[in-house]
Amino acid sequence: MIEEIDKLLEQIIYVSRELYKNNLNGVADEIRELFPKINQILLKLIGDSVRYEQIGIEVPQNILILQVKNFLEAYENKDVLMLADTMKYEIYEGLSYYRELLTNSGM
Amino acid sequence: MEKINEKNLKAVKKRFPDLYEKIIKETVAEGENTSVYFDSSANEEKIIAVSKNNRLWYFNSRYCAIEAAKIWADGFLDINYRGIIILCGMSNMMYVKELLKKLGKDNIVMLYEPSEELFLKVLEEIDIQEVLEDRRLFYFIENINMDSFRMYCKALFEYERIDLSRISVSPNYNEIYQSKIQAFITVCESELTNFQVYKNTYILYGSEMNDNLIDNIPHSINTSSIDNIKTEIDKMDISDVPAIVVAAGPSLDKNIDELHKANGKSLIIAVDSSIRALLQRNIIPDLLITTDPHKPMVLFEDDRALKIPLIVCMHTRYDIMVKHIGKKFMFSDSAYIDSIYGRFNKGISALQTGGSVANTAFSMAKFLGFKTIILMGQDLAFTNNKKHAGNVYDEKDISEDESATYTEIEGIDGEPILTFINFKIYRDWFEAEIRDNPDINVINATEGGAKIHGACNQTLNDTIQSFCKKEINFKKPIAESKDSFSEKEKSQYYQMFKDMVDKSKELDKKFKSGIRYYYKLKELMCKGKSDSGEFTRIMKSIKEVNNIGNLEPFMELISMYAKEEEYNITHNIYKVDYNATLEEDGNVIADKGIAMLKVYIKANEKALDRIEKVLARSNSKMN
Repeated sequence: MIEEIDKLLEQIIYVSRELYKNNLNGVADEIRELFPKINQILLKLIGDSVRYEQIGIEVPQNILILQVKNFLEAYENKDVLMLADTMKYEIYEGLSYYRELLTNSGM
Repeated sequence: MEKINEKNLKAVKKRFPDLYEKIIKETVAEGENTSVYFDSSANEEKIIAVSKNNRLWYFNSRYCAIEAAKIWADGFLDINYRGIIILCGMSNMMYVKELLKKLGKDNIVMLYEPSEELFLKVLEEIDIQEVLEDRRLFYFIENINMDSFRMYCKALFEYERIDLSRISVSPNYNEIYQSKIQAFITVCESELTNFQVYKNTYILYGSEMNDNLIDNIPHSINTSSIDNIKTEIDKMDISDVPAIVVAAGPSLDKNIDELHKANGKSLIIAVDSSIRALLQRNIIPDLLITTDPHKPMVLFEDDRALKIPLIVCMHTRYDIMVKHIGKKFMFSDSAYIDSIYGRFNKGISALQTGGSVANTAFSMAKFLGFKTIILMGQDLAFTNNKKHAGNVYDEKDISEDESATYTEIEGIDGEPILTFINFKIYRDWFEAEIRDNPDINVINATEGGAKIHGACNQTLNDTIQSFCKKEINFKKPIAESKDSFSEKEKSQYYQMFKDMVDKSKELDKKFKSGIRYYYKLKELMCKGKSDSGEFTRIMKSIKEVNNIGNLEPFMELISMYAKEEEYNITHNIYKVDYNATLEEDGNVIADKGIAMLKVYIKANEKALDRIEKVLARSNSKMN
């Protein structure tokens, strides 16, 4: 899972750069591929939030849900700047957070 | 402390006083369902957003706007040092600032902002003085100064720079202003296509145009200018008087007889191709216009055509200039005639030409100040398989051989119609003129042919009834327009013509020196002496030779005889071969320089030969 997240983080950096260059068409395929993977991972984190609570870790579910919602809104509207921002500053942070949890908690 | 708005306006005034005058008159217009807002990014940068259809669209990153702008500007790292960037969307100018940091001193940015409201609000709120003062930046704002964009295109672009240039759209602008941006890009493409058209025209007809120019010099001494007509017409009240531009499309046959009703109640400007049809019906236009270097003389076989006041340029067919005995009014179409008028501290206006003489006739009507311009015979398409009205020329129907030059455009009835690719360019020109001049009412009274978007379609009969009401006599003031030069000035002008012989010989010496300098340069590079004092001196001398084109009007005559070779040699001249050594690059440039100067020497000989023949002919007439 950690390897998978690392790969996604790398792709997010690349895609968000291209989006800031206004190149939505150039990365449309990548985004279509990325989103289900991101969604799956973040949903897993939300799904595991009860187990994390049991060991004293509060998963910010609302924030994660908002990040996915922002992504969807940006994607549907083809708002290239919102999409880039959401990927780089929100989704990236969400996935990095999960990566840290996985590394430190051993779950 | 100076307010932001004042600093910004000062910067605009310094660079573009005309734009400044327009801006200070503006109040913010209602946007099309958009409103502009300022916000702060997470990094506390002032960023800009627009609301459209109940959604807020940001034109900057809401987290770190500067970093996003830098990433965007990185996309231009590969732009050539002579490239021009046409950028749609200024946002808060952060993108433009970052872009200018990446570019060199020879790059140009032509910035188009589709929202007048955004531009005015940014001027109020954000200090962009430094960007506005950057001499590489030219800005065009919807509803404020778009009428100058095409003029700047012509001034800033050269054929060699087109392949090096790029059109780009700032992030999210296409989502908000798609139709405006699309329309603007269409204008850009049309302007850039025109460069290809000019190139083709100069290659095909450059020699002939030049022959006419030199042959016409003695005749141009006795002409007036379009400015002198304007002086007379400015004394009249033409606010409710139209100009009628008569072209020679097939539909002219339908409604030409109506024109009798407009005589004495409008200014009738006829293109050369329409004169036979007009005179056959005893319709005498107020002005006739002829600009092509090779127009068939059959158009002027009726003696009456030779007395109608004629609008000409230096490239007009010489035989027409000789045969025509009426008043002739010149407009500027060459650096040569500008320089002649300049020597006498006189000005001569140019007319925008879109490729056809009808475009130039329209420009003439606009130049004279008419606010209603009626087009007739302006088919710009094939009607009943014809290109022109019945008795313009004895021409054949459109043939299969010509089919490679066809395209389809929208007809006046909304259905597709066949036309020449060139005709489409002329049609696009009219549409651009209509867009850029919203204060002019253009009526297409052709009753056939292509649709000219932006023009009001009406029958000629209805148009004449609506607009041709006031009796007005243009023939008298045109006849009374002064000549451009006094008798003393005419003698001086003729002497300047004679002096061209010496000028040609002087240039011949300079070109030959230039070749020697280039060979010396190659020698020094071969010896590894590129950083020597001698190398620097030779480079300076070469620069002076190359600068002749900018300083010497006579160069135009030489260049026009060498157009095809010029394009071939200078093609890709700015492209950088990153694999080449400095010496290899230097040798390539030197070889091109030598080739170009050799071409100019030959062209100069041709020009001198022609000048001497014309002088001999004029001298023998005077004797």
